[in-house]
Amino acid sequence: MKDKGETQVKGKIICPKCKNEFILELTEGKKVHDTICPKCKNKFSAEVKCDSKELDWEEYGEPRKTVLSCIKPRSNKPLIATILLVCVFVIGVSTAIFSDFFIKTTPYAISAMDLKGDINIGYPIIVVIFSVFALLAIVACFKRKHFGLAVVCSFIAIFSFGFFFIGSILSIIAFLLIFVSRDEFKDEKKEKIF
Amino acid sequence: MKRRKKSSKVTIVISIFFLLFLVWILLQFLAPLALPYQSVTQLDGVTGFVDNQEQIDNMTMPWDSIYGCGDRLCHQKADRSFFINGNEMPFCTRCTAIWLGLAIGLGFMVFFKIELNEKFIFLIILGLVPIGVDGVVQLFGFWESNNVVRLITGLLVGIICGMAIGVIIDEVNEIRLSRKTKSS
Repeated sequence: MKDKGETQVKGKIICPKCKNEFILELTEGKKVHDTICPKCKNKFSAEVKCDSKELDWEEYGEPRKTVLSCIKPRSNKPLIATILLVCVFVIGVSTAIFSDFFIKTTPYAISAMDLKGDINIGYPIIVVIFSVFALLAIVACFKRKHFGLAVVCSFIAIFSFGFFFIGSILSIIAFLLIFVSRDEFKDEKKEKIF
Repeated sequence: MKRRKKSSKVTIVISIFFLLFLVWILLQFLAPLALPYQSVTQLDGVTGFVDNQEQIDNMTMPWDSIYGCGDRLCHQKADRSFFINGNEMPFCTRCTAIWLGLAIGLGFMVFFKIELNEKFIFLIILGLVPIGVDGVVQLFGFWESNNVVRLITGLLVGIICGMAIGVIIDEVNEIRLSRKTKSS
């Protein structure tokens, strides 16, 4: 039990049996302390010796550089990419739903390339599915998070082929804008949770 | 991935989407069952064209609407479609699998929440690469796909797309909530 008014100080003690070094709380002014070594459980009495030498401090290492934080400049590139991808989604879905003309004419354009199999470029369900991935890229760009996901989804959106490849061209522009503004995206991997 | 709270608004929105797709896919399976045996055997056409208006006009409601959608949205080639009750289904195997996958993916998202992060890329690759490889290789005439492959690839892309729709609904809700918090 500690008495009121007693000052506690910490002292370094070496066990005489096992030479284990440990820290003990001592009452200031008391010369002899009974203690038990936490390692070998040896009971012994420790005598307090005060080192009267005064300690001096000196500077160590290189002088520290001043690092100041400032707000990172934010461009509108991810926002422009978001708007372009919204257009890609709208064009893709409207191509699938309304534009018979697109579906009728695309196979003729593709047949000129001498492809043997079925031409599914105007396949409305596939167009809509690729457009859904444009939506995922929109979310990532808008939040300026998940750079990898934004890049992959905007790349997939290229294959939506919306309205005479306008959707694809817009997706390519969005893809490039996302790639150029990669520093503005927060990388989840670098963040630490405390 | 974690379990979703049943009472949240997002769950209700995803459930509505899920129910819509579930009803749609059920109608697709019921349509050939509801029509007389072997009354719809040949619907071959081209995507985006109405090729079978005469046959569709002879059908009763609501099956004419479903076959009409199939006529507009799908090629409906008989050799690439499933037959139930001797009748060709309104959509080809791949399309049916995509619709079914969408319902499955959304059904999954009703009960579970997937966080949008870089790991989702692997799911996208898993969903899109098989259908891409199958479609492109067939397009260039290197091989002719079969209905089982079409079913598997369509299901994969449909499930992933359904999940993506669920994730988008979640994210839109999060953006809405964070804006609300900022404004207050």
